Formats: sequence, C-alpha cells, structure tokens
Amino acid sequence: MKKNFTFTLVASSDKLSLKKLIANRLSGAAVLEDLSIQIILVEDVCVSLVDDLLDYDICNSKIEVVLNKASSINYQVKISENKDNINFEQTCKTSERVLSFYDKQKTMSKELNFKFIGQHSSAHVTCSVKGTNDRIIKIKTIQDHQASFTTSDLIVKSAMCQKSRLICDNLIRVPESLEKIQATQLNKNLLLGCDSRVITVPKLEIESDDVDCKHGAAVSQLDEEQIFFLQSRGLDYCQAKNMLIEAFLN
Amino acid sequence: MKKKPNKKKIHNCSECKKSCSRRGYAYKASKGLSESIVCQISEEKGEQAWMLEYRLKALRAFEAKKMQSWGPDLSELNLDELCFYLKAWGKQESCWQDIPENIREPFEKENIQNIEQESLGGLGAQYESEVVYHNLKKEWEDLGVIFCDTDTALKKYPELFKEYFGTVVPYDDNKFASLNSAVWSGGSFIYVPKGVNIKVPLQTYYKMDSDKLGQFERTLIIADENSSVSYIEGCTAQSYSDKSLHSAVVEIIAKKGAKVKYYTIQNWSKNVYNLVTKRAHAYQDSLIEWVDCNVGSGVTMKYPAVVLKEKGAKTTVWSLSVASCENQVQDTGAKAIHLAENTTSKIVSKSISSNGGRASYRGFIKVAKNAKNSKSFVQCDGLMLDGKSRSDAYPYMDVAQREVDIGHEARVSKIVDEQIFYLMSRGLSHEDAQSLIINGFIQPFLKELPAEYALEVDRLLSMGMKG
Repeated sequence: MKKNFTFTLVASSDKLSLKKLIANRLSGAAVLEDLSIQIILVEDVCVSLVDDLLDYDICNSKIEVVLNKASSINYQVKISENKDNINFEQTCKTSERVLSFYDKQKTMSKELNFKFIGQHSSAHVTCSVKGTNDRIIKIKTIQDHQASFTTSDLIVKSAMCQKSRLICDNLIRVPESLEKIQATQLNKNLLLGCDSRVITVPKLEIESDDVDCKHGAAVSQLDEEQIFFLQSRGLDYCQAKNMLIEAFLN
Repeated sequence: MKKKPNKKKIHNCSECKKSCSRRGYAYKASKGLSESIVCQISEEKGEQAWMLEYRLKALRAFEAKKMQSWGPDLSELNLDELCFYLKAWGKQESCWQDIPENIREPFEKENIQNIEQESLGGLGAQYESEVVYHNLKKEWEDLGVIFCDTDTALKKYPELFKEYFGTVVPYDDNKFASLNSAVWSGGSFIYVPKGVNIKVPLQTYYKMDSDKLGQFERTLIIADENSSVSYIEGCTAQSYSDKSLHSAVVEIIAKKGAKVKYYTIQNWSKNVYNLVTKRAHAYQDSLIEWVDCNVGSGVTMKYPAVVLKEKGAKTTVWSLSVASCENQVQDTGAKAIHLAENTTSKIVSKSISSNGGRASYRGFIKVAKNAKNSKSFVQCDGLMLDGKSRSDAYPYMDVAQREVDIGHEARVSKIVDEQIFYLMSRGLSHEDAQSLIINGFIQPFLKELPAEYALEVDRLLSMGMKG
C-alpha cells in the first residue's frame, strides 16, 4: 500500500521515533510498501529524530525534510536486519494499532531529501547500514540548500557482509546567489564479505562561490591489528570483529 | 551483397574551390560526413583495404549510436557543416625550412623549433588534418625507437600497427571514438623497444587554422617491456565564430615494467568542441601517468582512462581544468579500472571556474573482485572565483573486493577573504594576491610539468583569468 504522511514538528527535548509518529496516525492495521513522508520543521525549532522504519522491514521510503528559518534537525537512520534491537512490537502494543511492512524483498531503497528553505537552518544526518545476506540497499540523499547561511553534514557508514550490496548516491546542491553555505557528506564503507560490493556516487553541484562544500568516500576492511588487540584482551575473533563493526557504525 | 562505396571527385562545391584556391589547400573534402567522404579520405591516403573496411565499420557504428544524454550540451555542434578532412600541404618534411611559410608561421609563433632543439627527443607538427613536420633525433632512432605520424606508421610498419591499433579503444567504444575511427588522420605513433629509456620527451603539436573543421588525430603509443617514454601533446587553434571539432583517440599500451608519461596542454580556441577518448592498458608493474591541462576550448569532454590489467600496475592522473569565460564547459575527469591484484591508482584533479565558466569533475573507479590489495585515491578540488560560475563533481566508485584501500575526497570553495587580506597587508595588490593564491592551488599540478611548460601553463592561466 502506498501511503503519504506529513508531520509538522515543534520543539522537543526527546528523541522522536518516526515509526511511532506513523503508528499514531494509522487508524487500524496497515501493510505499507511505499512510504512518502514530509517532515516540516517550523521556525526556531530543534529536534532529534530517529528514522527507525527500516530496522528489519523492507520497503521503499521517500522522506523529505523541510527546514524553515533557524530550525535544526539531528536525523539518525539505522538500517540493519538485527531483529534483537527492534522495539517494533512494543510500539504497536502501546499504540494499540498494528503496523507492518512488506518484508523479505531483496532490494530496499531510501531517499532522503533535506530542503533548506529558511536561513540559518541546519541538519546533521547520520546513517548507518549493516548489509547481510544478498540484500541490496539503495540510499539516495539530497542536501538541497535553497537559503543562505545554512549548514548540513551527512555521514553514511556501512558494513556490508556476505553478498550484500550498497548503492549510495549523495548530492549536495547549491544554486546561485547564496552565501555562507557549509555542506559536507562522508561515506565510509567496510567491505566484510567476499561477495559484498559498494557503489558510491557522491556528487556536488555548486553554483555559488561563497561556499565550503566537500565530500569524502572511503572503502576498506577491518584493521587486523585492532582485531588482534581485542583478541589479546580475551575476546575471540568473531566477538572482536563484531565489536569493531558496532563501534564503527555507532 | 556489400555496397560498393561511391568514389566522388573531391572539390565538388564552388565554395570549397574558392576557399582552396585562396588558401592553397592540397585537398579539402566536401562538408558533411558520408560513406563517400570516408572513402575519399582513405583513397587520398592510399590505404590498404582493411583500413577502409575498418573506417566504414566505424562509420556505421557512429551512425547507429545516439548522442549522449549526459554531460555538456552538444546541440550546437552541427556535424553537417564541418569539413572532416583538410590537407593543407601535400608533403611532410623533417626540416622546418622546407615547409611553406604560411604553414610554418603559426608554429614559429609558438617557438616550438627552439624547444625541439633544446629539450625534445623528437617533434611532430600537425596542421589541419595532416602532419607536416616530423623528426626524431638520430640517437633514439639508432636504438630502434619509432616516432612518426600514424599514417606513415600504417604504411611503414603495417604488422606492428595492425597488432595494436584499435585494441585499447575499439571502433564502437563511444560515438566520438567511432567518428574518429571513421575519419582519423594524423596523430603520432610511438614504439619504444624493450629496455630503451627515452630520457627527453617527444612532442606533437596540433594546430587548427581553418573554421568549421574537424581534426581527428589518432595516437598510438606502445612501450615494450621495461622501456620508458614521455610524450607531450600541445593544441591551439585560430579563433572563429563557427564551431570546430577536435575528436582525438589516444591509445597507450605499457607492457611489463614500462613507464609512459603523457602530457596534454590544451589551449584550443573557444569555438572548438574538444571531445576526446584517451585510454591506456597497463600490464604487470607498468606505470601510466596522465598530466592533463585544459585551458582552452568551448566544451571539453575528456576522461583519460587506465585499465590496470596485470598485477602491480600503477597509474597517476594529474588534471587541471580552467573554465574562465561564459558558457565555457570543462567536463573532465579520469577513470581507473583495477582488474588485477596489487594495482594502484591516484587521481588529483584541480579545477578553476571564473567569469561564468563551468568546471566539472567526472570520475570512475572500478575495483573488480580479483583486484586484491588494490589502492586508489582520488582528490578533486574546485576553486570558484565568482558567483556566476559553477563547479560540479560526479565521482563514481564501484568496489567489489574487500581487501582494498579506496579513498575519495572533493572540495569546492572560494578564495578565503582572510588570505587575500593577509597578502594585501604585505603590500600585494588584490589581483596579485589572487594570482598568488591560484598559483598555490595549482602548484601540485605544475610540479608535474617540465619547467618550460609549467611557465607556459602559468602564463595561459593568468591570460585566461583576465579574460
């Protein structure tokens, strides 16, 4: 089922959960395949939002965050198939509604669009991805700066195991006549499986000169010396490896 | 049944005749591209049947391929209006004084005769579609080095030529490589025998003096095992309001342990579309270096590529692009394809956009599954000098092997006001302070060039900045 949601967020000191926000809107059981979500930050608000939609469910989601004047968002995405970490069932029970997603599709995609329409707005986005089996994860992000004095930074970290594949397409866009724009994007990837693969396409489209925009991408594997250090402290190889992966992603 | 090509007479339009008689061309093909034009070019060159067949195959591939939908706008490039082959003079000499003055003069202006004497091992000069001058110093000739124009290589060394021609860039690689394969003329052919190290660079200078012309040189460099060679390519053109096209294909083969360094200093006039395919195959423990400077042309699309085919192969690409006037597009970049273990690539790209120009970096790094212990590092820096200009970066990295070390970083920024202020407080004018900072920005690139060319690039750059 395709579903569109619009949330207007006001200041909150707690971390907001996107899954809870959606569950509260649904009146009954729903199976969601494609989600289109618009999140609007009114002026002078500062929120912290956890995008927990894809903890284990597989779906396509398109999320647009619109930032008005002096608003700020701390946006965290975590994509993994680790079912131990999820609190999805609790969410459903407390809200007495049933929310579920199609799962076990091979490919899932997430599109995040941060639109800065008010001056002095900022977004800090962290996205951690753990790929397992033969899953294909597509992440597309756009940092669309449409007002001066705006700041954005995006970090995508991935640990790809087995035959999983990550396709990461990041764009920073700055149209002309804007000033004092700071935008960064960083994509760090660990390739852990013999057949895992990463395709990363970090793009810059800059039409103003008063900017400082940069991107970086790196692909490597776990440092054997670090694993050896942890093993010398009594951990076995798998424990050491998992600890380093968790540390990298978090 | 295969259609027999129609061999037409050459000067069949009055406009061409007038132009030819005025300028004294030895041969000018009618404008536009057709099978008959391709046959005329081949006939004029007295080529073997296999080459005509190859050209016609490429023409069919060109016609079948669509114009690319990505990158700069090429809609103003009207191929029907271009002349695809123009021979200004019927001969080729190895002494400058034997060349007619009107052809010699543009080269004399660039002072390349003196540079040849002082610092080159050999020099070629291509005027319009044909090479008019070619010379290799005897000491290198005696060691078995071949340095001649590509047409001569086809006639004199047919077996060597046929073995390598079209193996790195096939005739159907992309639309403009197909076009080049169909109508190619001129360019350089270099063969360096096993173990020969040419200590001084070889150079070819390309000049376009006519408007509505296409120049399609074809360069083939073969560096045999444990040999080394440096090659410099310089390009300029007379400025016209009508569009011209430069679409070259460069193929390099570096065998085991060979080193090839290829310099390009491109300063075409702003009416020239510079759409070039450059690619190298690097075998075991070989090194390919591209040093690519793009200052001129209206639209440039150039992405020097290296396929690292065997273990231990290395490549370094240094690229500088300057888009310094309105509507000038420098769409440049580099490609490195790691197909074997222990291969290394390093790409450093610097771009400057000013006065409404657009500089884009478009790169591709591919690490195949069997390319264990490969390393790749890409750095692209863009400097914007005003708010009218544009700077883009479109890197693409595809990594399928886990035991690798791959890094990419890019940055676009302007000259920081504090730096200008500091230099001005030391007595420099605003313009000098800006030049000094730009010079510092491109310094890693300039260091890679031979000293006299570094000065030339610096001079071109300051001329470009001043418009």
